[in-house]
Amino acid sequence: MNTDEPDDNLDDNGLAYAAISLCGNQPHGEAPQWHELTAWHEGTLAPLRSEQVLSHIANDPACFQQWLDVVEAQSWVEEEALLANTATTPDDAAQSTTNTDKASPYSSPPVRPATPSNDSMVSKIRSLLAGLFQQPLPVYGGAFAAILVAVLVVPLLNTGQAPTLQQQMDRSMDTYIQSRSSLTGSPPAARSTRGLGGLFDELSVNDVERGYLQSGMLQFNQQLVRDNDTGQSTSEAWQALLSELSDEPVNCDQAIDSEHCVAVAEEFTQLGQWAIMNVAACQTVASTATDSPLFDDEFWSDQYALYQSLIGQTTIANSQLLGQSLSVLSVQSTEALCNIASTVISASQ
Amino acid sequence: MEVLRENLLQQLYSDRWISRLRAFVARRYRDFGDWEGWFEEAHQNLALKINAIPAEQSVNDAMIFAIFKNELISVKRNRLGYPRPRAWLREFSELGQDLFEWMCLQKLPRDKIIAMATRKSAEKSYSDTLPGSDASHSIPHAKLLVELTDTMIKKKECDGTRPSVTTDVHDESLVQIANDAPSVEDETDHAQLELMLSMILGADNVTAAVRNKAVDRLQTLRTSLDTEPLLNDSDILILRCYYFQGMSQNDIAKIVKQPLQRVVRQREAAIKRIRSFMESNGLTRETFDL
Repeated sequence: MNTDEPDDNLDDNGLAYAAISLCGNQPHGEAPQWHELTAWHEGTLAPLRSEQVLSHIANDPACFQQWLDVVEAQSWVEEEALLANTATTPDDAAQSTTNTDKASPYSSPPVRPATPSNDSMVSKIRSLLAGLFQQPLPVYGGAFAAILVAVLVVPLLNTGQAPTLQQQMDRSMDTYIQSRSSLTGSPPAARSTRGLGGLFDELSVNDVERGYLQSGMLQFNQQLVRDNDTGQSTSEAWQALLSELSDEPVNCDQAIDSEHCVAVAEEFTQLGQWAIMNVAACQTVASTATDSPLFDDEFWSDQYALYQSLIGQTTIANSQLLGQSLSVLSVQSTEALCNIASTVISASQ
Repeated sequence: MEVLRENLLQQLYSDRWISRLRAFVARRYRDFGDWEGWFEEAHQNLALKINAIPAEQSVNDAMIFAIFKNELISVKRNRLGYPRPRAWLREFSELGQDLFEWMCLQKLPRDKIIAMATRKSAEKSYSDTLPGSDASHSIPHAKLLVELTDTMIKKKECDGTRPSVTTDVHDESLVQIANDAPSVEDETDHAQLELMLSMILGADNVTAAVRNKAVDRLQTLRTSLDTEPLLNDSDILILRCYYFQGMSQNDIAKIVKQPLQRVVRQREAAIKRIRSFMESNGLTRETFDL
């Protein structure tokens, strides 16, 4: 429990119950099936579906319990595999199961190994190789390579998933938030007079892209204010810009090209997040002493990688709004990233 | 794909899987005479559920365990004509179901119920954190368990509970059970608001006058929050894990795969927001002159 909370009469349990009873949102999208709950937990669902599944898990107590069941079962499975791998004989395994207080409720004495032990795996490979060497020579190379792929590469493919673009973005945003920086200075000036798309007529392709960029910028700012409590120190110029951005979601029914509207949503929102974070970081760096940088080389490497990933997206590469302003950077340069981020912010207004 | 799924279904009937699942049922329900029949039926239902999952979707051991557990609960309820708790208690997921079962079906005494709930919360293995390692958090969670149990007694929660409708258990899931509309939704809704009041103002302070004044106010606030949400889904998920399940922030960070600091900040910010919302809307003891 938070010990530095205000000493008033509102107890945290009561507040939490009130929060969920009063502020619980309506789940949206179809209720998730088991495989979707598992995929959500593993982070492999598409972003839109992932949001829908989260809305069910957070707001439907039965679905929340199903997700907890998946989490719990996964933990048991891992423990069981660990026990099976560390025990060299079934007797050892049974012994170790009975000796632990946190034994899986699914395990039954004597425990059967869930996966082959290292010893048995090695002996299998050894006997397989022994058999192979009785074959004509050319067979060895291919078969041996296949075994190596199976032993060394397949497990990596199964377990080592590269983080998604959004996960990389979240990590960067987290680093930014931890720096406790706020939006200072002035935002880059608008490139053109603000459009009235959507107010009186249909949304053009540019209006849509601008809308998502703004949405990303606002999301970043909301997270900054919510998680960092730095809203008070946001400069007036930034506040003025942010207050004028539309927080209405882009309505693709109003778009001239509704397919384009749906297709670009995720990447342009991420680009908006990236751009405002980088402009803010660049402004912070410019205004602070260089001997104690708030953002280290890793942060800038991440920004460079994120930028390269974003401009690799077809939707962004083909953007009319951004045109040629997003150039491919052959080398990492903080100054170049700052300029590009400013250009995106200018184009978004 | 089809072949893989067929292989998996065959594996479900292998000695290895049968002994693992059977052991689970035995551990939990050995005291019930027909537990082996429950196992057989839940096992069959599990196979049907797995078969219904699209062939291109991978199925891992954890998913099998989770589905089996839910099928077993459905079978048990179906066999026993299981009445279910009201909506306010179901908000606490398995904890609410357990409290209801211990108090209303097994008729256990208050202290034993609290002891069992405390033990079960500590035994949950969501991560490798040792049970009870977050000692500072276990105190408010224990307080919640006591509050819930006392509220159930005070509200005579076991009176007039309705038996569940017997349906085809093959198609029944926990979600469907929870989505059944309560026969007296207004009553349960009212109960939820009342519990909220007793948790905010203290159970002894909720007199008829306070209740009348506050319930209307809470309902108005709830309507206004529908159009302007105060918390997002991720905030709600973290609050549910931390306060309702008694998980440590470390556990939560691990299972939602977020940095611990972010979880801590998000929880604190959510509580801060709801606290200031309640205060600015006059939902404190001072406002009611308590």
